[in-house]
Amino acid sequence: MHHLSSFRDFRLWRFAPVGVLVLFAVSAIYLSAILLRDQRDIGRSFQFDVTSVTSQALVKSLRLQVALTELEMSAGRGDPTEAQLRYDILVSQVRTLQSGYTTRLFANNPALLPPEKAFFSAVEAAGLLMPSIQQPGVPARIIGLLRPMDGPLFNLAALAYSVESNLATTSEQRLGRDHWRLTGLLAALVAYGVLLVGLLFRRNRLLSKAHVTLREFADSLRQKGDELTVANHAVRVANAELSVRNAHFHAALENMSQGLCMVDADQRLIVCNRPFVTMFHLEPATAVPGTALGALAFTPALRDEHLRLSEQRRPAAFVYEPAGERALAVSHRPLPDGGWVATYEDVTERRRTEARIAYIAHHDELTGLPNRTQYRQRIEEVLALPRGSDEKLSVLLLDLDHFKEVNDSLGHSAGDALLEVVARRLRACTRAADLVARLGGDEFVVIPEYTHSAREASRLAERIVQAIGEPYEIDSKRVLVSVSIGIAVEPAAGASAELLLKYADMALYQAKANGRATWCFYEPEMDQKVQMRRAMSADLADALRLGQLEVHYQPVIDLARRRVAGFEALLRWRHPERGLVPPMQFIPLAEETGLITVIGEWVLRQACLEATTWPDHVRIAVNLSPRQFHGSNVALMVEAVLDQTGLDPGRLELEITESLLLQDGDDVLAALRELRALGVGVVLDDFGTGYASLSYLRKFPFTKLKIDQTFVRGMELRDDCIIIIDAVAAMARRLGMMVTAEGIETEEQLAIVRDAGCNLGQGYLFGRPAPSMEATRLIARNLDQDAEPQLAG
Amino acid sequence: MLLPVIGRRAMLGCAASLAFAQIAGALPALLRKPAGKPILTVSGKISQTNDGGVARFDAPLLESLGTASFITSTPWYDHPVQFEGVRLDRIMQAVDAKGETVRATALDDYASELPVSDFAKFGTLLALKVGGQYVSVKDKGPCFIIYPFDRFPELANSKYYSRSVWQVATIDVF
Repeated sequence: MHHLSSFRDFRLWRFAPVGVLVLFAVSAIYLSAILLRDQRDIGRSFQFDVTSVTSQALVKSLRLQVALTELEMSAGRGDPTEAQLRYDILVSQVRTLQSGYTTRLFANNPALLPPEKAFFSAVEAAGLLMPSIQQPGVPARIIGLLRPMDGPLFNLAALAYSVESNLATTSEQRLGRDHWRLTGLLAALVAYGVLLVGLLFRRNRLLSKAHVTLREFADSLRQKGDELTVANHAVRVANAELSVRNAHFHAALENMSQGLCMVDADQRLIVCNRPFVTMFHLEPATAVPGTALGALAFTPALRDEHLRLSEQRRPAAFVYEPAGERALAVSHRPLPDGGWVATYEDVTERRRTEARIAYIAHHDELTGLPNRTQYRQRIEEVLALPRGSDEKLSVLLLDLDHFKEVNDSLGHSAGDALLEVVARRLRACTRAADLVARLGGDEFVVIPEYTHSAREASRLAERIVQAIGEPYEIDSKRVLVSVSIGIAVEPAAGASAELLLKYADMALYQAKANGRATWCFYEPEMDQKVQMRRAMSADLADALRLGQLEVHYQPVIDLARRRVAGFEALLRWRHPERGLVPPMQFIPLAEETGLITVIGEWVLRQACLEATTWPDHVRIAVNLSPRQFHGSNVALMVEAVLDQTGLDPGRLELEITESLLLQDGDDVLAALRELRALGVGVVLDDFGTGYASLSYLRKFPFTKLKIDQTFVRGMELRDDCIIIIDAVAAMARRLGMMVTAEGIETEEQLAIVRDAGCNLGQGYLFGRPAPSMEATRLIARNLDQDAEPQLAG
Repeated sequence: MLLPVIGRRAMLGCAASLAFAQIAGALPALLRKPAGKPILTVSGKISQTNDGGVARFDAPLLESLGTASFITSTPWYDHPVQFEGVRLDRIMQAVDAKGETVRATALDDYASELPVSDFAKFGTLLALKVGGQYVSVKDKGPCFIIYPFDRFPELANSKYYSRSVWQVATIDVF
C-alpha cells in the first residue's frame, strides 16, 4: 500500500509542475506582451523629439527673422532667396508640428494649443506677405508678425520639454515596473526552477525508492523464480518419479492375480485391470475409464450389491458363489470421494480346498464318517436345541473287540478294509439323521437323533452288536469281530456333552469287563466305581513311596521230594484305611496306569534281594505284567536288578501270562529270548485258559508251564481235567519244560498231579502267600527236614 | 528569326556590351552638369565630379541614375506614403564614392552621419517625390533621405529616424 500511495503522489507531483509551467508560460506571454507594448509605446514616444521640433520651430523662426532683417537692411537690393528659403523651411517645420504625434501631444495638453495656434496663424499671415518681401517694409512687417511668437514658442518648447521629460520619467517608471515585473517573473522562474529541481530530486528520490522497491521486487521475483525453478525441477523429478511409480502401479495392477475395479461417485469407472476384464468376460474396448458401470456387461447381482454398499458407504468382504460358476472373493471399500474400489479373487479352488479341509477335519478319511471333532460339536448342538421331555440324547460308544488281533494277523490294509465294512454296517443300522462317527482306531460313536427311552437305545445297541458280529470277508478270508457298546442316556435335564461321554466311556469299560460283544448302560454306580478306582489309583501311586507295598511269598514245592523248591513273589498292598487290598483290585489298576512298571521292578528287586538270603537251590519266581514289556526294555531292567542284587540269574524265574503273548508277537519273542539269554527262566502262567496256547509253546522259549488252578480244582469233578493235566505234563516233559500245578489244596489233588507227572506244585496245601519271614522259616524247616527225611504236614 | 551565321558571335558580343552598358547604368565616363538649379551637392572622397571636385545634381540628373520607390510609414506622416527617388547606393556609385561614411546636411543645417553600408543594405532612398508629387522645401523637400521602415522593422527607432534627413542639401563622403 505504501508503494501505491507514493505512486499516487508521484502522479500528482508530475502534473503539478506542468500546471505551474503553463502558469508561467501564460504570465511570461502576458509580461512580454506588456513589455512589447511598453517598448512600442516608449519607442514610439521617443521616435519623435517634440521638444526638438518645437524648439526648432523657434530657431527657424528666428533665422527667418534674421534673414528678413538682412533683407530689410539691404533696402530692396538684397537677395530674397535666403529669406524665401528660410520661410519655406519654417513652413515645413510648421507642417511637421501639425502632423502626427505632435498633434496628439498637443491634444493631450490643451494648454499648448493656443500658442501653437497663434504661431500657425502668424506664419500663415507671413506667407501672404512673402511674395512681396522685396518691397521695403514688408520684411519688417513679417518680422513684426513673427517676433511676438518667439516667447510663446519658447514656452511651447519648454512645455514640450517638460511634457516629454514627464513622459520620460513615466516611461522610466514603466520600464522600472516592467523591470520589476520581469525580475519578479525571473525570480519566480528561478524559484520555480528550484522547485522543479526540488521536485526533480523528490521525484528522483521517489524513483530511487521505487527503483529500490522494484529491485527488491525483482530480487524477490528472481528468488521466486529460482525457487520456482527448483520447485519446477522438483516437480519434474517428482513427475518423473510419479511416472515411474505410475508405471510400477500399472504393472502391479495388471500383474496382480486379483481383478480390480475403481469407481467414482457417479458410478463411472476410474480404473480397472486386465484380470478384472478377463474375469467378467468384458470387452476390453468397453472397459475404459469414464464408462458408466451400468454400461459394462458386469454381473447384475454383483453390481447391485456394490451399489447398495456404495449408498451405505460400508466396506464389505464377501464371497460371491453363484451355482455352477467360479467363486469370487469380493472386497468392497468405499473411497473418501464417494466412489468405491473393489477387488475380486477367484477363490474357487480355495473354496474347494477349504471345503475339503473342513470335510477332512470333520470326517474320518477311511470310512467317510464324521470324526471326533464333529461329533463333539453335534452333541453340543443337540444339547442346545429345545427338545421335548421325551426327546433325549443318548450316546453309544462302540469299541471293536479283538480288532488288534485282526490287524496283526491279517495286516493293516485288511484292518482298514474291515473298518470300512464296519462303518457301512453301522450306517445301515442307523437312521439318516443319526450321527455315526469314528473316533479313531476301532472306536465309533453313535448318537441317535432322539432317544425316547432306554429300551429304544438298548434295541439299537442289540442291532449293532448283531450286525457287527456277522462274519466279514476280507481278502478272501473270513474274519470275525465283535463290538462292545457303552450307552449313556441323557438324564433328566442339563447334562453336558462331557458328562455323557464320560458315562458312555464308563459303560463301555463295563461292557468290556462283562465279556465283550455286549452292551451296557451307564449306571450311577459306575461313576462311583470310577471314582473309587481313581482314588485307589492315586493311593497306589503313593503306596510304593509310602512303603505300603509288601512282597509275600508262596512256596512252590518239589512234588517228588516234598520240599521247597522255590517261592512265588506276590505283591500285597497294606493300605492304612483300606487294609489289605485284594490284588485283583489293584493289580489291574497298576497295569492300566502303568505303575506296574515301577512297582514290578520294585517287586523284582525285593524278591531277588530276599532270594539272595535263601539257599541256592531255592528259586524265586516273579510275575511280569505284559504292561512291563511296553516301551521299556524288560531284559535290561532284569539284568540291572540281577546286577544290583547279585542274584544268580539261574535262580530267577519270570512268569508271564498268555495275554502278553497276544501282543506284538515278535517284540515279545525277542524280549523273552533276551531274558533267556540272561540265564533267567521264563514261565508260562495260567496255562490252558488262553487263546491258542499251543502255538506259543512252539514259538517261545519257556522253561516251565504252570497249569491253571481251575484244572486242578476241577479235577475232582471232571475227568477231562485230569486228562488235560496228563497231556500237558507229558507234553511239557517231552518239550523239556517243567510243569507246576497250581491251586493244590488237598492231598488227593497232590497225588493226582504228581502221578500225572507234574514236577512242582503250588497251593494252600503247601502254604499261603506270606511275608518273607515265613518263607525264611519254611526254608529253615525244610533244611531241618533234609536232615530228617520226612515231610511235616 | 534568321541570324546570319557568321555574324552570331559578333551580335552576341554587341548585345552583351549593350546590356552591360545598360546594367552598368550610368557609369558614363563623365558626369554631366545639371541643367537646372542643383538641389544636391555630393562632395568628399569622390572621383566623379562635375563641378570642381564636387558633384552637383538637379532632379532630372538624379533621376537619370535610375529611380526606385517604396511605400513606408514614417513618424512625420500620419499614413504610409510612397517615396520615390534615387537609391543612395546608386548615387554613391555615380560619384564613385570611396568613403565609408557620409554626412548629410539639411537646408536648416541639421546634419547626420550615415554609414555607406546602410545604402546597399537597406536600399536607402533619396526621395524626390512623396506621394507621387515632387516635394518642395515647405514639404521637407527637395530631397529626403528615407529608410524603408516598414520593410526593415529594426529601422523604426530614433537612430534611423535621425538619419532620415529631410531637406537634404549636401552629402559629404568621408
